[in-house]
Amino acid sequence: MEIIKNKKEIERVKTHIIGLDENLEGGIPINHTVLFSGTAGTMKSSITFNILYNEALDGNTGLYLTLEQSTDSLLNHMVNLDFDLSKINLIVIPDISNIEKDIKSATKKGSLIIADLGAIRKKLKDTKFSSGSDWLNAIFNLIKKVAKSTDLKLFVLDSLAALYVLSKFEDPRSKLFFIFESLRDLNLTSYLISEAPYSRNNITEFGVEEYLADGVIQLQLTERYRKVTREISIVKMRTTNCNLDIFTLEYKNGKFQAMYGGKTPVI
Amino acid sequence: MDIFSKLFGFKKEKRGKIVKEWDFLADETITTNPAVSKDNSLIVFGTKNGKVYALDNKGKIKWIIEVHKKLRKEELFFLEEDKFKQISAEPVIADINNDGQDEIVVSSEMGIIYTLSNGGKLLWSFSTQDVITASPLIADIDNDGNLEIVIGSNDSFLYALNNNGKLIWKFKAQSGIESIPAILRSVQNQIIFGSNDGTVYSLNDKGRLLWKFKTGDKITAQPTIGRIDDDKLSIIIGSQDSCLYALDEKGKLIWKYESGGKIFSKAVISDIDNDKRPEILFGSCDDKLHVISNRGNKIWDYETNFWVVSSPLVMDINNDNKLEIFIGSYDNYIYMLDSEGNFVLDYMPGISSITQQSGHYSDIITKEPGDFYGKLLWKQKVDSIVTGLKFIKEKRKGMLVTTNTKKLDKFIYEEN
Repeated sequence: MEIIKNKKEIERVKTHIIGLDENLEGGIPINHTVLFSGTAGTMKSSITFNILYNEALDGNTGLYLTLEQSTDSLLNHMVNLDFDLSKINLIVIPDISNIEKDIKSATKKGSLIIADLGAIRKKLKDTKFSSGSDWLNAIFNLIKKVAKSTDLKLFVLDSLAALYVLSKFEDPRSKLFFIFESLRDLNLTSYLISEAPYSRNNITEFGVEEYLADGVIQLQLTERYRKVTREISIVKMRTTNCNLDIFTLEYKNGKFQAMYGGKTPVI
Repeated sequence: MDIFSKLFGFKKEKRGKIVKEWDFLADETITTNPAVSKDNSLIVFGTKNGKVYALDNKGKIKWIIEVHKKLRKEELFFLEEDKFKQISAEPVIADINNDGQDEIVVSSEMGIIYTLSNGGKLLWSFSTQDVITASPLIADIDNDGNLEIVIGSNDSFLYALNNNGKLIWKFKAQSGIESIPAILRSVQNQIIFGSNDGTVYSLNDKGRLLWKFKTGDKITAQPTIGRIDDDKLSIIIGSQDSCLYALDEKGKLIWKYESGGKIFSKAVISDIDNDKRPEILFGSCDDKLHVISNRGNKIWDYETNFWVVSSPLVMDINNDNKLEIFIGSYDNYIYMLDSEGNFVLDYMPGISSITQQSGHYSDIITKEPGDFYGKLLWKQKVDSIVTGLKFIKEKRKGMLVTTNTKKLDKFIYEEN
């Protein structure tokens, strides 16, 4: 990592959430590893997919790695949210045997690559693996392969909770330290989806992810008079002077918006 | 005249220095402690890329062998690209089949244990189901006149093999095993080892559990067996919960000593001050070498600038009938310490308020009076963090040093 001389030198990747980027000095600094933490239904997958989709439209390549939800289910959901997938170079990696071939067309700028490790896992269910085999290695080997053949800039892991189930986490602190350091070493801006427990004080599973991450964006559902509102807030973002207010999160006309920061919305 | 010579000049009128005799550059990072044959004619170590190097005592290559199996593309995908071939466990050199020649037992992170001939030819191999990072115990565990090989794997099993690599028995622990087993020879032989969930296990020679003892964290250190207080044997073992434990033959706690950091490697039992009572020495991630009494009380310690991970070496390197202590630190230095330490007096009029018997005043400004501290005799900067020290008992005594680089250094004591 180079030490910058002027804050204007900090390059940022937009969250593509109207109202939030303005409160983040324009976006998330590049090469940051950021947690998107929230309970089910808070649109974590949609927000991170939206970042990769819009960045692909701007000519940047991203890798979306799903460990649980199948590619078909994810893409059907995104089409239902009015994402026009024909506008981007969408590549799906269905198998680990032909990755180089699968990502050949991703050499052109602005691709969104989806790898479904859940499907790959099903295909390999009868395979006997060598000592030391681990899904964490598979993830990093996949990222390295994609990065080697493309101009990979962005990475989404959906989700950390699924990774905890798949990989051995006997010593979670060291393992998480390894994950965060390795992502930084790959010079990627990474978004890790974390299934948060139902408490603002407990953002993550092991309680260390938020310290290791460069940034944490929390998503929550708030009940007011039987109406449930989605909310978004920046818990931390290194190298950024940000507004920590809670915003209402809305998705309208194909755009995410963060509104009413610090104010109670009109019900 | 260097400081080392001066210090040795004060004692027994001996003058000498420690010099590097040779170094050897491997083609990848050396990832094990070096093993040395009894006659010092063979030095063996492993590397990150799965090679086993055998050198003579001048640092010249005798042979090199690569010990990893071929894998399918799918299998490779699930392995850590630049690490899966690594050999982490120190090789063991012993004549395991009674043919009058030494064999070399090497285990790899691919979970396979290999036995090689003195000339580097593969004799047999045995596969476990997970990574092996600890060396085997090679001993006649059942008193049948043959050596057995006892090794732990991260698959949670401790395996006992005969000298042809055939499984005799295996024992399932509650977690992976990264601690080298030790043998306690008493009324019945006991095999003692630690595990990743912090349990110390004792098994009989048939692999049946005799007792277990729980510590607070992972154990990677090999147990040390010795007589510390009476005629009975004791087990000394460090845990990553920062404590060093002394257990009796039945697994009952005799005492425990808390250091300020994780303990990774084997403690040493030695009567370093010739008082007829053994002392216990160990390194810790509180950056210190600790020297404690046979009752588990602090005698002295010596603080380096970073973790002391490898085991200390105790030897009389200059033949002055006094032992010296060598430690390697993650601060990139090897330290040689006086075996008796320094005593810092409570009060000495005229020289500030505290002083010491010997050494330099500036050494003790930050130390508490009325206590003992390690006395530095010599230190040597090396290329990187010190990961292993191995004593070489030749005519000119010395040691091999590994430093998480491709280089193996040999230092020897040379009389002026």
